Amino acid sequence: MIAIVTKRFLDKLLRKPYREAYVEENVRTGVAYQIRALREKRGWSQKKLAEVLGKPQSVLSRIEDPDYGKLSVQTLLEVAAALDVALLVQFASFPEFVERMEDVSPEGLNRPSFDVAQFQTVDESSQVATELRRLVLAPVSPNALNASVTCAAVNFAPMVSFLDFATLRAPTAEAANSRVEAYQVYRGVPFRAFRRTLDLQSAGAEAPAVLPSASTPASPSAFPALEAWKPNQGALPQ
Amino acid sequence: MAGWTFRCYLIDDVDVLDEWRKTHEADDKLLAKLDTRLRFLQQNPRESWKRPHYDTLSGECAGLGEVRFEHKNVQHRILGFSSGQMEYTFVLAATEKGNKFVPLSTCTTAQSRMREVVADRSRARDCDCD
Repeated sequence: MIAIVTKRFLDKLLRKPYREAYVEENVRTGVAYQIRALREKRGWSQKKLAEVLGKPQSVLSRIEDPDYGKLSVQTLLEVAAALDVALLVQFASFPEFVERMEDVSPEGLNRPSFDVAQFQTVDESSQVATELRRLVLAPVSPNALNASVTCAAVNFAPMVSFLDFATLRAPTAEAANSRVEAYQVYRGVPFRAFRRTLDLQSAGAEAPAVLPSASTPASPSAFPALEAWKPNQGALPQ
Repeated sequence: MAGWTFRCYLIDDVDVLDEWRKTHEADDKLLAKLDTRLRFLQQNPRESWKRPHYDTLSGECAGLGEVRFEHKNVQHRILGFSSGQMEYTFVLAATEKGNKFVPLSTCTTAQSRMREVVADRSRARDCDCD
């Protein structure tokens, strides 16, 4: 993974004491700001969250102070439980970290509480998702990746039904992104594989995006040539 | 994400934050603290700028505000003012000890610089905040 940063920022990151401090400050400040964002997005006062936590308001005030810096994982778990969100604590590479800390606006830090609508039980499409994920994560060139994803999509009947090959080529990353979102809503399947494809392509690849379109889903019979096509037959039919 | 534009008062063509950074260049932790504090403020709405990260000043310093952060028991303050829609201009860096700014002339200098910038925008330029 590569993070795009300014030369000025990279020069600072080259110094180990700075990057250590950068992580420390962003974790401390990030946690404090995120708790406040989560609380405020729910319309809760500090007093309300403190009550749910079963702690005095002064404790919550400290928790939301980025200079406090003595939060334990146990306290964070309790806050997560009170807000009904999950807590993710894991080590990360610096590019990952920089990327994750890019959007620290209240909207960027907010996360929804648990909702059953956030989940879908496993169905036949999980096989497609697994295969696509495997292909997308494979270290291949964007063009090969594109072809592989297309092959996989064509070879899995549940996928073909929802692919509109006439509109696969998204003109911009934003358009591609909105199609992914629309497709996810349409199918109710969190199709991270496609997002990965988009990420890889927007990193500079020339290959057109292989993306589904939810607005005009094609019927299975709309593309007989494609459905009859097999990976070993060479180029995809137009 | 839409954010604030931070501008910095210029002293001999060096912006006030860069001058502060140069003074503290040996202390990476302090530099990271300021960088992080500014980045979070930059992406958050003005109504969420409040203690302990920020405070609005009164009295001698009326019309100004301060970004607040502490390091090694020193209270650092970067004074500035809202200079336009989603725009904030920093005019002076100081410290605070016993509820008083160091140097004592902080408010007077900051007010003077604020007036300069209001009268002539070129007395400040966009800060390098990364």
